[in-house]
Amino acid sequence: MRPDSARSTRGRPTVLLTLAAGLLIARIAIGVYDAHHPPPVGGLVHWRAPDAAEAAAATEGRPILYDFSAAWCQPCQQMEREVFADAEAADFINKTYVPVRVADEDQAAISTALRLRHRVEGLPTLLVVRAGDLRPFRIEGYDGKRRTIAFLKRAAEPRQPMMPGLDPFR
Amino acid sequence: MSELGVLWALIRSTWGERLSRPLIGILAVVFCASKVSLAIYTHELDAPSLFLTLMFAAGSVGRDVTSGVLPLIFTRPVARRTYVLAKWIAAGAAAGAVSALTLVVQALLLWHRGAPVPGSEISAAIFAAFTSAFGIASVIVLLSVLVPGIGDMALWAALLLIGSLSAKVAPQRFVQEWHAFLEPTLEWGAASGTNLAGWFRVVSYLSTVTLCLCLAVMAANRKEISYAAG
Repeated sequence: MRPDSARSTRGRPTVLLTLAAGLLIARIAIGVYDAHHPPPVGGLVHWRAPDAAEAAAATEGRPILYDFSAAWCQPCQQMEREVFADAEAADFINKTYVPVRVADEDQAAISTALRLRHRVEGLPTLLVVRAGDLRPFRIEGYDGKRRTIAFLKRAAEPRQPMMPGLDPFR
Repeated sequence: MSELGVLWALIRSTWGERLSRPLIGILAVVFCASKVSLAIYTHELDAPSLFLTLMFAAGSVGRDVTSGVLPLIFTRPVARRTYVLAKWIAAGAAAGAVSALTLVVQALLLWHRGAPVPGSEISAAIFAAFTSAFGIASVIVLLSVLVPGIGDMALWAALLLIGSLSAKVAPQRFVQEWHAFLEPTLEWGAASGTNLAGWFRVVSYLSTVTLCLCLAVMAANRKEISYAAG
């Protein structure tokens, strides 16, 4: 490599500039394409009706996964695209839970009752309820696919004994 | 000295300068320790990469300007792009490494307490910590070239606040992109995914980082740095 003194110290970053321009064009192109080709909403998770969930959970012996969301809620849509439209995650949810979506737009009595009973204050909220368990697992907000899937996997397992007094669900 | 040699020397001198300030060390230890304590309660790995990057990258160029070190550096034949890249690598690598160490400590503690975290989750968290550190460092370095002292922190916070306030009037997509620009990060799930959303995340991240570095180098190239220029 030639010493710097032989070149201008204010040389234009040509490689970086080309890379940045190329990536910016690709970013805009993918963004525009993505906006015109949205993923199928809820196409992979088999959502059940809220009023039939408890009976289904008792019959199938599976916990209920409530997804409190809204059409206007961007993080909910992001979770939809990244988690519920992901084949592997959706398959896990379908096999492990009785999935129930409670949309904010749904003003049916049972949906309102569920929101009140589980004190849903922010969207999205995921709630895992087992029969006879008074302490449902819950996660509020969308903090990325990895954490959401980790939550879903952890909530599917029987509660692990924690240090006395440190159980955040107690 | 070759350009790589200069780059390495600048990285080492940046680390030396940061580590010589006890406040940074104390704050880093306290913050990492609090993250480790929190992980015991939540059973979740949580990297302190944002805070550490802000701490390591704050004023990386601006402080050199105000302290008068920069004119001294540029009395040598140091390419400005090398200087800017060195600041970025120094901040990103330091914040990423300390974040990764914190994550490993969290994982070991959780394993010791009978709640082991899968290896894939640990490596994904470390990946996210490094991408977050290098991403945020690129933004801070750009702001640091533009404003003196630690004005980059104030500018970053102000831009973040503007993004949050605009959520009431601007389209949600704009607000999301605004925040993604100020806090670029990449999750392993997005990086390893083959769907379009995954590609968009990868390209967006790389685009933000390269754009920030490119603008930072160009701004540094235009900067008149001398004692006479003040």
